[in-house]
Amino acid sequence: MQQRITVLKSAAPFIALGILVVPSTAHAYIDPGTGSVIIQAIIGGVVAVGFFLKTNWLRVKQLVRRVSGGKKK
Amino acid sequence: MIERHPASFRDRSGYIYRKNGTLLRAVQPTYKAEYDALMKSGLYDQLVGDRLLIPHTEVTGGARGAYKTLKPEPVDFITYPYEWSFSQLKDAALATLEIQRRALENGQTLKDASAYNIQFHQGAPTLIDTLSFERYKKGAPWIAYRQFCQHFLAPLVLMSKVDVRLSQLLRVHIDGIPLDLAAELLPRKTRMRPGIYMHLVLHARAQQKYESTAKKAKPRKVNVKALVASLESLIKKLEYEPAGTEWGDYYTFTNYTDRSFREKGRLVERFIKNVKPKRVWDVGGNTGAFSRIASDAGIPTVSFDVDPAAVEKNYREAKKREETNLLPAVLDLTNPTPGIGWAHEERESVTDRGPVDMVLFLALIHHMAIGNNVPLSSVADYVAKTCRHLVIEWVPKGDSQVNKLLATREDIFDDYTQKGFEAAFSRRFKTVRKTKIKGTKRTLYLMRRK
Repeated sequence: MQQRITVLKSAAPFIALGILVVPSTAHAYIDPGTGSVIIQAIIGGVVAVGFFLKTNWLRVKQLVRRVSGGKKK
Repeated sequence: MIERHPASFRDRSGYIYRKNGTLLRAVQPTYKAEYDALMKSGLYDQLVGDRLLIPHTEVTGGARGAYKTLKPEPVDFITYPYEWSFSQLKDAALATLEIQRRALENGQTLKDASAYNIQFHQGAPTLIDTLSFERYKKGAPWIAYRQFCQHFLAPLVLMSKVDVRLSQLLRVHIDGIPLDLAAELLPRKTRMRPGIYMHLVLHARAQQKYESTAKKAKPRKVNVKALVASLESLIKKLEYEPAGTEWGDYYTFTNYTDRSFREKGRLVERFIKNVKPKRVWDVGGNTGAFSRIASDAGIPTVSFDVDPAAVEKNYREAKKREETNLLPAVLDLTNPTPGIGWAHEERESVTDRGPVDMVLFLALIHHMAIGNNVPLSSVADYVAKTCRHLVIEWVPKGDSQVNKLLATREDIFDDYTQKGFEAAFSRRFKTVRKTKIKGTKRTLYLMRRK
């Protein structure tokens, strides 16, 4: 129980960060759930950096190479 | 005659119905722009080309008031997520995410992510709901995220991390396993894994926290592509190893020498050739050895078994061999899948999805009659509802498998004799062929329903 409260506390700032979000599509026939919409905004933000690096890995590598190569000269 | 499908009522974009036996899908005028976007963006062709979406043709003379009427390619046999093994559910989940990824690249999104929208069509997990797409506004949330987590992520995590049999929770919770329940069932260590913690545990907490909130809120942008990629990498990592199956050593058990096993196969093959069935159900399929006699001959075959580990092995084999006619599925014949959902009609019982031309009922009668105390006449009555032809193996007392069942209990089955069996089944079936399986105490029958 104690552990759970701690977990909840650590999660609180993330949830608070979410600030209410509304879905904006016209044909939604299922309830997206307010909590589910808020949490996906947060998770999307958390994983975005990794996702960006993964999808742009070649470009990032080239950039790093260019920068570090430039310094060597 | 027009018959609207009882499960087709949630989404107002259209509905499916049968007209003179043909399955059709009406697209409502309100969905026109979305349907046109799917067809014109190239997404439809791309998904159909990669066997991720069911192909359809547009037909005339459809329902009154419909924008379009579609005739989808028929799916041989509908299965539900609670009838899938771990890898079947995992592949269905990954197919859903792949479809969503491609939709996003084409400026569209999946507006639902129901596991019931995925069917195994010619071996591949395929989206059968053509009206699941809508145009996507960049930064908008994924409406179906919650549904995806409930229908796919929660059961997969539970099956992988707790017990594979927990897939059966999907039978009780028709809209997927509630995330708070899933989180509660997980061991503490598993709960703290980053992906599981975010998509399941925190997600469940957020749901609880905002449960009663109906406030209009400030829009916040969501990176749905990153969200989908994160779900994909989490699900790809989930594993399940079917160690010893319930029937693991069944074929190596003393009943069958290699020779009599092959002999039984030859007899089954001969019976199938005699009847030339259009569809076959193997209702005690184990890992599919005998089902493949039918499916390899080009007959669409469902290979049922009660043991999820056997079905898992069967599915892996089918995938490896790229089989298009074999569909493994979990079924407990002593408690066959019932009709569930609204009015008991949303998801059909297994019996209502039949009958088929032929049922294989091999090495199973003793499990029903002795293992589950079902009178032989009652077995015959039920089986007669499922098929026109029956290949059934009589397993007498004295057979090592029957001895095993009787080892720990009193033998109250005086009527469990070959004579009693023939009498019980002759009420419903006519025996066409009857052959002793050499090297065993068993007899194989080909019967035709009266």
